[in-house]
Amino acid sequence: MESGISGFDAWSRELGRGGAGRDLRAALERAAARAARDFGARMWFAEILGRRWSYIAGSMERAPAAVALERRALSERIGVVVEDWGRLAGEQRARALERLAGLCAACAERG
Amino acid sequence: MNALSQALMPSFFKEQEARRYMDSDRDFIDDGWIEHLLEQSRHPDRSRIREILARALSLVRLEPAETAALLQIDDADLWPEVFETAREIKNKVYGPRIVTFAPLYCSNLCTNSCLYCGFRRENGSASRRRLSIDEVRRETEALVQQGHKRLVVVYGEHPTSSIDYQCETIEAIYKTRVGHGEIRRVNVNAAPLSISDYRRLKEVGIGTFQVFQETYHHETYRKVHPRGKKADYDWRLYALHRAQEAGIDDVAIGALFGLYDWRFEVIGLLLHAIDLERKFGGVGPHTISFPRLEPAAGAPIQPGAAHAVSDEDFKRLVAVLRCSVPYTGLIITAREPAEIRRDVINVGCTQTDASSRIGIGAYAEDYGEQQSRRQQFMLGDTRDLDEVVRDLAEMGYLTSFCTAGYRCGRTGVHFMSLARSGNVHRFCIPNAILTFKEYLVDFASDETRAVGEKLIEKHIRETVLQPLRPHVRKRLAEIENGKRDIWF
Ligand code: SF4
Repeated sequence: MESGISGFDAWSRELGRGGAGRDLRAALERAAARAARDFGARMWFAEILGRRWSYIAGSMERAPAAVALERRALSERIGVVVEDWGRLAGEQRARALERLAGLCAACAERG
Repeated sequence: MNALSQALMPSFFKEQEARRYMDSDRDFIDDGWIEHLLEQSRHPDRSRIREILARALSLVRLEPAETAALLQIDDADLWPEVFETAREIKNKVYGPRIVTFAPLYCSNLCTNSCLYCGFRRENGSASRRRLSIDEVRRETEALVQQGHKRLVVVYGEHPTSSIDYQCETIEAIYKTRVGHGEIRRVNVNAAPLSISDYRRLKEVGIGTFQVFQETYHHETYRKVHPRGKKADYDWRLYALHRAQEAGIDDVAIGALFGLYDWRFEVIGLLLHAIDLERKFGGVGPHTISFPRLEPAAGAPIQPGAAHAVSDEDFKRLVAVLRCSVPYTGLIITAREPAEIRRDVINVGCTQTDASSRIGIGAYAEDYGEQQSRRQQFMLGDTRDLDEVVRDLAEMGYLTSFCTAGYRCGRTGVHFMSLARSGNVHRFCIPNAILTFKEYLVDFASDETRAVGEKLIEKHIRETVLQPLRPHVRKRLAEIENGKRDIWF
């Protein structure tokens, strides 16, 4: 099903291909950069180590008025922090998280 | 692998791990070069100092020659300008907040012989102990009940403080809860580790790993560390390079002032920061500590020796560090008496400890007076947390217990990028306010709460960015209604 948001479907399809052979960091870096470019979302990724979330890749500077961070685990080891979903709304956000989780799983499988 | 090669493995790896970061097989501290730099920088002229201060105000990291010139100011009229610059840098980068923590000594068994330390192995009169996991829990409960959210755990260098013990104690601390209270960030002060051991610590989710070089001056280092693992200068010097390589991206450096010339040590700290930055993608140390030598029972070296640092020079060294490394936190501890702490907080310190007890088991046992036989050194400030928080609030500072950064990936290169782009204010001040409010509601005395609430109101009006104010107020109301651990 197409979302009607230009850029989101292409982003989603690319993630569905499992990061096209990139290592996890490079794949996440690209996912965050394209999310920012294509539908205005800002996010970064972190390695989950007990309480600590240690930065891996993604958006580094903060949008001026962002006030609510959304922190989600994508796997046991990797989490995403979204500070701005840009033009994505409810259902697309859930799809985006699913796609990101799939990307982490695909990269983990490749080692 | 035969028994001999097995026995040789650790030292072989140690050698490799110590040398792999060196340039042309030399470490980054060239004593002769530093002495020469300091000599050359004597009697700097006023216009050069003002140029350097202007550059510092643009929030760049200074070069060693610039720092050396500041250290050599002999024109008394110029020091107030340095203090003012340091104060301004602090306000620009960090705002009116002081991050607060408590130390938790888990063990004072040590195989080293540091001549300035009460825990040195030759000190037969020290009462030695390693806390059991239950005792660590009880210490943690006592700290949580005071309102602490951040700890630094301290271990001596000894086989009984193995990496297994360190991981177990940290996990026990994180699991401890009392009512609304819990420890949200555990920093570690321990002996240098191998890369594989750092990886284990990383897994348990530590905050910052700190190793102090004590003195950067090679010859002095050799003299004051005559025996034990700590006698290996390079193993210690590159401890945090190994930590970074293992993925621990918050590391902290420090020097013990009073062992050698204070100006030399400041340049040593700066070179350490530069080497870390150079080798790890621009990420220097998260914090710098600069404890002064304090009296320690059974230690051959006591304060007052040739390199004692006066109160005036102490303030100068803090201000010069603030100007030199604008994005690195500076820690002033309870070694210093309250009036010194107040003075140097104003010229650049960003973190402090409070209610500190440094005897083993001292929080749960609550034995009142300091006991030199149980302590590594004597503290200058034993006020409780409530009193310190109130004192800081009266000076205009929010006590921050914030641990949000390391729980949402604002670590290492990400944190540095936010700081350099001037974005720390956006979330650090609101988060300081929220954690301060939690403290006031859950733990503060009536007197502290009254001072604190006024201060929060003032900073919402004057410091928090206008678009964020309603969001801060909304979250403050949520805290009043029982919600905890909310952050931006
Ligand atoms: S300073 Fe540290 S390493 Fe040295 S004797 Fe004391 S506890 Fe041991």
